[in-house]
Amino acid sequence: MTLQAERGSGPHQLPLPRWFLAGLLRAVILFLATHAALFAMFDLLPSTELKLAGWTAADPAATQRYREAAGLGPTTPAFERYLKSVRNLFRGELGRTVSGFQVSQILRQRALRSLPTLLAGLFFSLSIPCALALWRLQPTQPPGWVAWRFLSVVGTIPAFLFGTLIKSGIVLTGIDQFFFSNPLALNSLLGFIGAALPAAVMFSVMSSAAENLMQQPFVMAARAKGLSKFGVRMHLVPNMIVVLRPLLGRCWLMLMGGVLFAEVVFDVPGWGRLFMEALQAADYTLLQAWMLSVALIVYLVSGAEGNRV
Amino acid sequence: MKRSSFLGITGAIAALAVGGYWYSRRNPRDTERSGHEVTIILGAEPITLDPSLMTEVFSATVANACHSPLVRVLPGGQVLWELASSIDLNPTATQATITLKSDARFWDTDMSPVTAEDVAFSLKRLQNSASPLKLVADRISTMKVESETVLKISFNSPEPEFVSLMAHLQAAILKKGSDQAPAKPLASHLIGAGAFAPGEFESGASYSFKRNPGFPGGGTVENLRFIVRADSQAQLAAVRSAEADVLRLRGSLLKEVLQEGSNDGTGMRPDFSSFTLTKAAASEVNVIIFNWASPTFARIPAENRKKMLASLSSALDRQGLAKVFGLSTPANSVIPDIAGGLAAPQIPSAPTTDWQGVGSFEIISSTDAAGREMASQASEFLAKAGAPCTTRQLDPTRLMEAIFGGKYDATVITFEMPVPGKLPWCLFWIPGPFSAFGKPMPELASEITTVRSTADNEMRQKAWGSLISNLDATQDVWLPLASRETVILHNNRLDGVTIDAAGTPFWSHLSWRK
Repeated sequence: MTLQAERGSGPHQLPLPRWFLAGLLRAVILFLATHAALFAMFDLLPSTELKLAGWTAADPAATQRYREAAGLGPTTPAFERYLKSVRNLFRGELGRTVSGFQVSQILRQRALRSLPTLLAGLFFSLSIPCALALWRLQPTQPPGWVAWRFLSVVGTIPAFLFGTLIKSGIVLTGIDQFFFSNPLALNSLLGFIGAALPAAVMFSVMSSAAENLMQQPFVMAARAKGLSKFGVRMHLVPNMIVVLRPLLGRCWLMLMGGVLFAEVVFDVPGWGRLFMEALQAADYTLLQAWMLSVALIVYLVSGAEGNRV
Repeated sequence: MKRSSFLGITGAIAALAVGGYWYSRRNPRDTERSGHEVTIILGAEPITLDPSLMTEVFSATVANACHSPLVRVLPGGQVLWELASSIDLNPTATQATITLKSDARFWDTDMSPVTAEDVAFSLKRLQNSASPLKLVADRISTMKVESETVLKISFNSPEPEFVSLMAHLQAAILKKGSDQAPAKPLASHLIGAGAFAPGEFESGASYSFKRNPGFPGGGTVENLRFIVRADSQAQLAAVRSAEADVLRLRGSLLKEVLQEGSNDGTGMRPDFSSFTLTKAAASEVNVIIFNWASPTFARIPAENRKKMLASLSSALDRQGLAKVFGLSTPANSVIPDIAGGLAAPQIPSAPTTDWQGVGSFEIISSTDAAGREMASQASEFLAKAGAPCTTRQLDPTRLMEAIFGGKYDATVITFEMPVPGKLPWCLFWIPGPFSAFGKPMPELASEITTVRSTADNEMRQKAWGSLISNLDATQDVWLPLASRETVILHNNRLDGVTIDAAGTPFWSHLSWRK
């Protein structure tokens, strides 16, 4: 089984450049539609945050200045604001937060903070199901059903709840100090929490793929050449990952969602907590940019996966 | 994949993991402490550093690093002269003369001196601002610059508490014209004369400051760094691992740090043996607000409300509540004990309780750990006192929405902006001066205006006491529960952690002890 054979067998049998362009075009159209919807939601609906912040006693002129400084009040017609917003979007100028920080800079900083966790999650979400699937092939050893059951259960628990359970566990056992004071350990733990759901999904696919692959001629040839059991299994790994290709996009999104929730639970200042901060501060500029960024990633990943959203 | 390749890759990953672990285990403080850095934990990110827009404690905590008022007033009433060397009032309190320290400088690149022009600019800017607390300067009528360091001020009515009012962070001194500079994050383009100058800011994560060599006096700490940790376990872990040196203890954090039964703050858990507590007299009050217009209470006649509050107040075990809150004292007034002799009125007790026919009501509170804990403990004690209730948590925006919209039965609130200068600021809280929880209080405004103008100190203190006594005795909206001290946990080698009369810590005198 090869990568070329897999690509040719899908429902979207397009040449690679056309396949890429079609996916990109669809992602851009969906992205613009999302932007228009978010613009309408955040910019056109009346907001009451100034009243909520207790500023009604301020004189109207000063309040207006404050609103303008915070980028809240409409000062130009909505359509002009929309066009300006689209233009800024393509320039990468996403505006400023209520506290004056450049949104694009914050998104970049937080993405860098989330990246190690995402990479750890990617490692776990591939390595755990892969190892378990290979382990199940060994008839003389336990099939790893404990781990398999664990993954099955964990895969059904939302990452937020799973993260909360893990956090309660480490606090109660007194090992929270170790995780909170070691960035590597904390990133790995968050990656593990975020990887639970994609790992469970991948395991089910990898497990059956491994069993099927064991019947393939190249495995028999490898055995005939006298390759060890370990060597044979290592030959299976790339092929198992190729089988996963149609799922990788969705698993990546699952992983991202899980990691973002885990960040919120563990109070790590990455993309997940950024969303909560923006929500709590009613920072509409930041919320809008955050949602657009996530939407862009989703559309691009989905497009790359096979023009499916 | 060959076995050797697999083992090689696995080995490389393991080496990276071990290396990363070793790197992260290295105590970064060991290398950074040589620069005399202090790291302070914030429970939430600051919103602005503009003194005139300051309304919440996290922003004020950070702004206290880079902005300084002319004076600071400590909880005991002592005055700490920061940028001014004196403020003289005439006998009728209608004129004030501010004399600045000649060595006070801003933290801008050319370290320009703080002048009388800058003070006049700052006070004028506050007067023209949107801040509800602009009334700090609302009696100033004219300002005359006498010299580089002397400013004469005239008031349109007597202002005997001018020195205390100038201790507010809202009256911090800004460099003239700096508000016209291009905006920077958190309004850090406003040049101040605080002990530290803004450095690198990473929104929601960390905020660094470096010492302003032009700040007169002060400590020896060179760098200040605020890190944001909303999670209480993460806060404690940061302190235990020496990542942070200073943490303000709120709510459940107090119990995590103190030994079992040590409510007076004398005994700390062994984990925190290298830390010490700095406390200020009770500066916050926990209060239950009742919304009599809610459907739950709607059928209670208006004339019965006061009686019901009184009966609940007399049945409530405030001593017990203060004990479970930790480092608290029972409160009988909405004005905290820090007011210094003002807050002694007792809500008159009533022998019977009318709460049986009311049924269970709901207390809303904020979602943070302190809010949750306070609401659950208050509901437990209220139930024991004969008023069964449930609790519900809302995020800050929704909580305000519910309070303003009148969509609640009761709420538990902590006042954290108390009474420096003996003005009951907490009553100015929402939505602006002279109102309480959305209800304008014009009579109170008039009374306060009169009391504020009383030039004689003794008479004014009595008038404040009488005003607040009457207010507590006649109101039928709130029920005070407990007053809590402001408590700061900090490294025991760190000197100069100081709390002002508003219960906000400031950092200008920080020094590491050898």
